[in-house]
Amino acid sequence: MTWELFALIFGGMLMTYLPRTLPLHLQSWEIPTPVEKYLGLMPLAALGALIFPGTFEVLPQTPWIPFISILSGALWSYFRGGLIIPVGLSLGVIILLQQFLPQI
Amino acid sequence: MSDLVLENSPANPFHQGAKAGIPIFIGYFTASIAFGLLAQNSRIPMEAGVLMSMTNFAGASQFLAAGLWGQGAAVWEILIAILLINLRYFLMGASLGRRLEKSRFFQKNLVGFGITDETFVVASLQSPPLSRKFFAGTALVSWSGWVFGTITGYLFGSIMPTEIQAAFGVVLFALFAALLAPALRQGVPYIISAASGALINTALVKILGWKPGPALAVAILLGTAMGFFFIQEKEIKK
Repeated sequence: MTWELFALIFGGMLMTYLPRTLPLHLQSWEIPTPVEKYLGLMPLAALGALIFPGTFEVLPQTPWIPFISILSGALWSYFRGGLIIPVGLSLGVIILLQQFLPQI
Repeated sequence: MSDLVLENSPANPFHQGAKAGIPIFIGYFTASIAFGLLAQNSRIPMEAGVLMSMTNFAGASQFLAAGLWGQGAAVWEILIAILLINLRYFLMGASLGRRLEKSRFFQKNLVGFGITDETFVVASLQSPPLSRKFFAGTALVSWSGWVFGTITGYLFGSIMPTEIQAAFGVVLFALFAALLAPALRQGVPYIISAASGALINTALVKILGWKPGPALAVAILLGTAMGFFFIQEKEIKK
């Protein structure tokens, strides 16, 4: 394992562990409302940015295939929730489209 | 002694917590297979990938780390992106901390390790005070799913056809989408933040040619701000 990979793994651990654990020690400290609101919106912006444009890169030749795959899973989870079913649905859709409609 | 008695009773909170963690185990196992595949394709050797799953125990940020690593991003760029994605844990930790039974310093440090989006949701459904043992059960079962799935992903990667592996690349984004879509129901500011994050990141990467690490950081901060200003605006009008 290279030094850089080691730094990635243990740096990543700290960057994950600290935000999880610090607030447990600050129980008496109330987060100011604006900060709470900003942090509450952050996962949404993060997920949006994580999904796009990365989704298109899954199959760079036919970017609409992964897009439709993601969209079908997202629609399911919007109405019905869950994690396993929508992800399975997305996977099924992309494999089907990839197999049967490879060159459009 | 009381602990000893609890160990054998059916209402043992650790067992209850472990049981509540089984759906998470299934979800994590599948998702981390995808992580193992991605990490392998990003030239992260198996021992490093498994060590990452054992120590980081984080979905989105591990996928991100492996993805950026594969694209040749610098370690510090990746770490900043990871921290930004993980800032949401700060809220979860604060919320969990308010409901956790009275705990010592080192016990809190152990509980903190187990907080993920999914274990947090399960823990939040328990009526307070939250039992440490219950949470430990949920977290341990979830963690096992994550680690064993990673190993499976690496092992599968060598025998799976390349075409199917490419399709598996979508699992990560499908997982993000499944977390994002229901959260959009919280209201307009949330939709604005999500859409802005997506648009800003796409514009920075595709049009301005930014590197993925810095682009993601800017997109998260700016995208969040867009939704935030919308809330402020609405409150001033009231």
